[in-house]
Amino acid sequence: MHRIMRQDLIFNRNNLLLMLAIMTCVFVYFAGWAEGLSPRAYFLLAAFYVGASMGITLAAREDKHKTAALICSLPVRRSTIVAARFVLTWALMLLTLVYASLLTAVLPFSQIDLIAVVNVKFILVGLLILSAVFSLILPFTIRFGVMGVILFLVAAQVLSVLVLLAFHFFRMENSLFPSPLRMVSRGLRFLLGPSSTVIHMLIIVAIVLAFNAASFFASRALYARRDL
Amino acid sequence: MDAALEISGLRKSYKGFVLDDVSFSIPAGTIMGLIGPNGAGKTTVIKLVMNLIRRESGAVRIFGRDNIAHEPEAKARIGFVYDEPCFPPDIGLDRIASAVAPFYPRWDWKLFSGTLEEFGLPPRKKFKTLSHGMKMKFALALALAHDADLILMDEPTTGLDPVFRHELLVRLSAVIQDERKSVLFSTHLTSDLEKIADHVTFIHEGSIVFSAPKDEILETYGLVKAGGREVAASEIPGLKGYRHSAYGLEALTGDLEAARRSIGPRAVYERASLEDIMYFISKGEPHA
Repeated sequence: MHRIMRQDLIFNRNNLLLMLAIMTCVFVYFAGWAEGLSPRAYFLLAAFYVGASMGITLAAREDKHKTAALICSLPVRRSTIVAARFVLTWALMLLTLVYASLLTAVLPFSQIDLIAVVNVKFILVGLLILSAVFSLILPFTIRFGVMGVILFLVAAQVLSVLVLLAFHFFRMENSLFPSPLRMVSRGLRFLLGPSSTVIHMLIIVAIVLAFNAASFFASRALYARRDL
Repeated sequence: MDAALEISGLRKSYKGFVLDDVSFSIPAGTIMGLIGPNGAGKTTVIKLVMNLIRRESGAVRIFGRDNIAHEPEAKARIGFVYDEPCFPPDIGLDRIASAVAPFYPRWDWKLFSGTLEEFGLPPRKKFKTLSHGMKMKFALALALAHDADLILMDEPTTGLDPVFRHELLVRLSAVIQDERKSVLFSTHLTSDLEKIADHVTFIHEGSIVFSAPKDEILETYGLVKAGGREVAASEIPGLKGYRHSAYGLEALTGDLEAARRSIGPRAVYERASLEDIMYFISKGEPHA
């Protein structure tokens, strides 16, 4: 697995450095000039951004240059390739999230005192957002490449708009149909709320693990079936 | 003799194309040419051997081991040259090699550097700046550097100038001097194969037409040429295909001696080249 990770780092070094430069600009902007941005919002926004961009960087580049045929012709199983990419992307995401957090402490003009909100529960919520975004995007990227990500984002937006319209025009909030949505909404409020008991945190950890396990196994199955 | 590669009953279907019941084997220490017109299924066969696409049925054994059940071990013994080398474009050749080398326990840096030098490839040059011929040379240098026992090459000479094509053929002939090593070489440029192949497998519309030693093929197949209407195509034993031209009938037979005995002096007979065989079987009118 480490050989695939090493190869990915060698093949993607320039691209990863470019991503880091772009992310630095985004984080510096949010830290210094985004008015009214709370430390929590900064952290969660950074987690979302890192999850979305790092999640697709490696796979999208492979898709663009068609290097999947090279990697899959090496003496290694496809399941190992997916596992390596999963571990490497998580490592890169965590490092980038730490980097985003450190920037707020180091930048002299930073308006965000992230240290004040750093606690276990909040970090877990950040990981939850990171996992949710990355876990949803990765299988699409692995199966369909960059086009898969675009389709996923378009489909997610269309679905969101349809749900909003349905709520608005059919006053569905009072019907029985949206009860699953209400459950999700309540669940999110519970997770993001002030409570921080051990059970609360264990639930978040379990959800993070479940997201990643589902995404990993789906990605592995999709990659194994992919004809190159 | 042990087989370097054994393929049996291989099947893969796409919309509008089916590779069906493909079987052949490559004895160790030989060069096999996989020939066929464009779209015949050559690349599909090679991709199935490399497990780049999923087979629907059949088996592929590399040095006696299933190519999926023992994928890492099997692939470690293969040097693969793609028809369109797919390396990251903005990276130097030495960096690509440094990423690939750790996968192969028998990787030889000295051999790799020597081959790059022999092929005139600067190690620090970025892949995207190479011409098509240089890209193929680099892919071959990588395949040779890990002392592969089976070299698979998908259309390696297409688009190359005659000088490098000749160099490549000489290099491949040198590879099999070590009797453990074998080469599978897919091409539609049959003249290359006539120079170096020991065995030839002809694939047409997804099915194997024949797979045999090259000398045996060139001995048994032949052209029958007859002027006017003296000979009907249906009379020719072992007819594989024919055409009528202004000069009369020209036909390919799979049994030249039987045709000579049967038709006698009414026709003239010639040895068929691999190109003739490929042409008549894929384009000539089918026998009745």
